[in-house]
Amino acid sequence: MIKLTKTQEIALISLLAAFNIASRIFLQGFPNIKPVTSIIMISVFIFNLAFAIKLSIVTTIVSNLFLGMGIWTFFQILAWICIALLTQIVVDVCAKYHRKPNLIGMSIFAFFMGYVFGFIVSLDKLMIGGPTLFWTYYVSGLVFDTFHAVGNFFFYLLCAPILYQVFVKQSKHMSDKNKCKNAND
Amino acid sequence: MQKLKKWFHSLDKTKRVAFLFVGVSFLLILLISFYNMMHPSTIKKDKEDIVIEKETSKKEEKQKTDTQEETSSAQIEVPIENKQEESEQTQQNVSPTTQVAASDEMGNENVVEYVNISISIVGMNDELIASGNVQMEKGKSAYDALVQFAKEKNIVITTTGFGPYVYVSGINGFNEREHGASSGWMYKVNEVAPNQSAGECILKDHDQMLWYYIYD
Repeated sequence: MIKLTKTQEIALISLLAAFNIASRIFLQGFPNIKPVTSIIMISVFIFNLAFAIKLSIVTTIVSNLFLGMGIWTFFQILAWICIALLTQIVVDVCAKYHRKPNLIGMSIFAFFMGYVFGFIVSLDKLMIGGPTLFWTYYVSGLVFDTFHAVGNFFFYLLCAPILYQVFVKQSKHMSDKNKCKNAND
Repeated sequence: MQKLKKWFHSLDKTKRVAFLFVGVSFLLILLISFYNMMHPSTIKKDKEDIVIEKETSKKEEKQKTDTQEETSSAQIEVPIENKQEESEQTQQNVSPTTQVAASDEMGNENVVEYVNISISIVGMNDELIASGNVQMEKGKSAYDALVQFAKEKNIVITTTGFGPYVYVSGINGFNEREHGASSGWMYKVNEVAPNQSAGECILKDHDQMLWYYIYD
């Protein structure tokens, strides 16, 4: 985990959120195949839970300004916070047994997070129309959840090594600079 | 319980807040959905029903002298596939509506326009459950027509949801998924299946609505 100052955190959140929003808008044509869930999971890994939650809230609200606001905004935020929490639990369990989570295992975890997201987002139909509407809605959306899950798997496989290396390297670089600065003072 | 409390206090601040947020929002979702299941929009329905009952009683008094009884007795025997006879029915019913509208204009200041809709409900094996005509206010949906018709003929219907999300799961004891996984109730207006929920489809005057049961 990388510790960030306030300014660095704001800058990184805005960068990653911009990437998420751009991908959500640009990949509208492909149903549910988006790197947002993977990026949020990776940000739990590299930074911390608070960072991921802030990132998910900014991503959802700003991208829904373009794609359409509604009751689903709240449910998307809730779903991504749930995913971040589940990832945090996995990280904690791994830390307990002094193991590093391997890439393929986490990709499979990301695969199942697609279904978790679909389930939580369709919960708003339970509020509106009762269990019958919820089950019809959820079952008819299972195909799209599968798209989301498969997309998650590949995006995690693709993004995790790259982002991890970029951020860890940069953070080392930055901390070295800070040390130099402190020494000079 | 104490173990849970201890575990909760051992977490750091962000995790605590996140767990609380997720737990509270799931609780809220469950509570709201339970509330909706227990009270399926009672207040609105009751008001509408009272208004409809008043108006129908007025109408019935005025219409008793007319052909109402004849048509209702004739309609039960008419099979739905017979188009000619149906068109005759609708022609017969044109005169009562205009009369009612006219008398309302004379008597009361608030003019309510009525539309005439012929409904037939077909169960399994093309067995006719009920058919007949319904008069209701202009601008009401197909679902409202079905509810009014069922009330008049004492047919039990079960539904879930409300407003544009309404779903008719059972009529007269035939429920969805009872005869095969994809069995259930569908409806047609003027022999065309609308691409809408029954709560959204607004009916026009002289529309012929058919509710039919599909099964494997």
